[in-house]
Amino acid sequence: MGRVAEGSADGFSDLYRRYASTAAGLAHRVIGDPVLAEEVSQDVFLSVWRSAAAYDAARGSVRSWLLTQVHHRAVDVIRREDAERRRSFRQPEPIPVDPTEDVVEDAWLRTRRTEIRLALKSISNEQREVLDLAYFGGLTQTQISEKLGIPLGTVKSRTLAAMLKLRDALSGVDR
Amino acid sequence: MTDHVQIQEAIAAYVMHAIDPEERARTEHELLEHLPGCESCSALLRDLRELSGDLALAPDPRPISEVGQARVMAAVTGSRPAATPRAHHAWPRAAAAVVAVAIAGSAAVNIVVASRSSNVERRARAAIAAVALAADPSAHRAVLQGAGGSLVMSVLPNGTGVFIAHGMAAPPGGSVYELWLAQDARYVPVRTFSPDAGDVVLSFRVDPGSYTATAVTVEHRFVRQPTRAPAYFGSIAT
Repeated sequence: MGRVAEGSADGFSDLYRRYASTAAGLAHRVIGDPVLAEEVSQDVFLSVWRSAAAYDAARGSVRSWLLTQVHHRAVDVIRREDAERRRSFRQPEPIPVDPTEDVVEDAWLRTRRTEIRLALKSISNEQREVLDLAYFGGLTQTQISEKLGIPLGTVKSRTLAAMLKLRDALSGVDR
Repeated sequence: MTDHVQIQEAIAAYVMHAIDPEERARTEHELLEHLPGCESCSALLRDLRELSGDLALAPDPRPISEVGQARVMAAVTGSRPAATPRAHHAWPRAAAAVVAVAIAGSAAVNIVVASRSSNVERRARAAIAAVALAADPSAHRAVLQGAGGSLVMSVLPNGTGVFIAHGMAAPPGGSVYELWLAQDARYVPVRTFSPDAGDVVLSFRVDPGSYTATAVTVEHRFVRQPTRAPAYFGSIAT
């Protein structure tokens, strides 16, 4: 990432090659529209290229910095769209267990993907539901409260509990 | 809101991008107020931000179209940004003008105003950076007291700082607010600003130094010395 911050196109190319398909997969899961998802992913990579100097390794991994931006951008897109209409056409997607064979990715990322998916299966259905609606559905916590008919405080506590359990489940795994 | 559980719940919602838009500024302010003095919550923010990035790995990756790849790489190779010296804590570059102000006097100080969020996206990015800064154990902060609203300033030893306000009244007609840092019993100007519907997110960079207090005054324009008593004032905790 240091090379990207210094304006290295080769460094950026490596970053793009490693994470572009992951970014597109996330944006597609959130937005549900493959064309729009790819546009969002591309826009974030270009934004990263322009603002690479903002990255600070002391505050987290490049992966997290990049993919968090993709997530936020995708959520912002569906919040601007007619979200309910869009969701009415979406079917719930189960979390896969094995990485897809369609995209070639390095072994480390492939392993990490499996670890994340297994960790998601280790939390309760109720916890996974609020995480799924927030992270992949792009709903705010108030919207989740209304959708599930549960108090906002329950949504907040359930979200925190889910994330703490995921963190602990992954804490023994090398990053 | 200082209860740790409530702060932890806010952190979880914040990194998930799941806070209602109208609550976002208030939550950011609460985090900025709480994090510098709380290592456990700061560590939680770092952990959960990393986890939020990892959740992106759960969906299947999708192949990128050749057209998409070509578009990105053409933009990169065609408009290589100039490499810039990078401070330890760098900020997103803003479209706002970068202003260098030379302070008159024998001990001239150069101040560079790094950025002013001028749209929603830029504001959001600045706020995210601000919360990250607030979780930095080396940040010094001040809660400003005064004419209403909730104001927090955090600054790192290297001079990178952020000022965030919520519920701040608009300045009287024809005037602006000006942010100051106090050093050696004198005020150093940072920049002028006006709240956007009560909210303010300013990131800035000043010369590294031992600032002891921060203040906000009402001025008619940018000035190098305050012309009025501070409308808001806070001592910087060290």
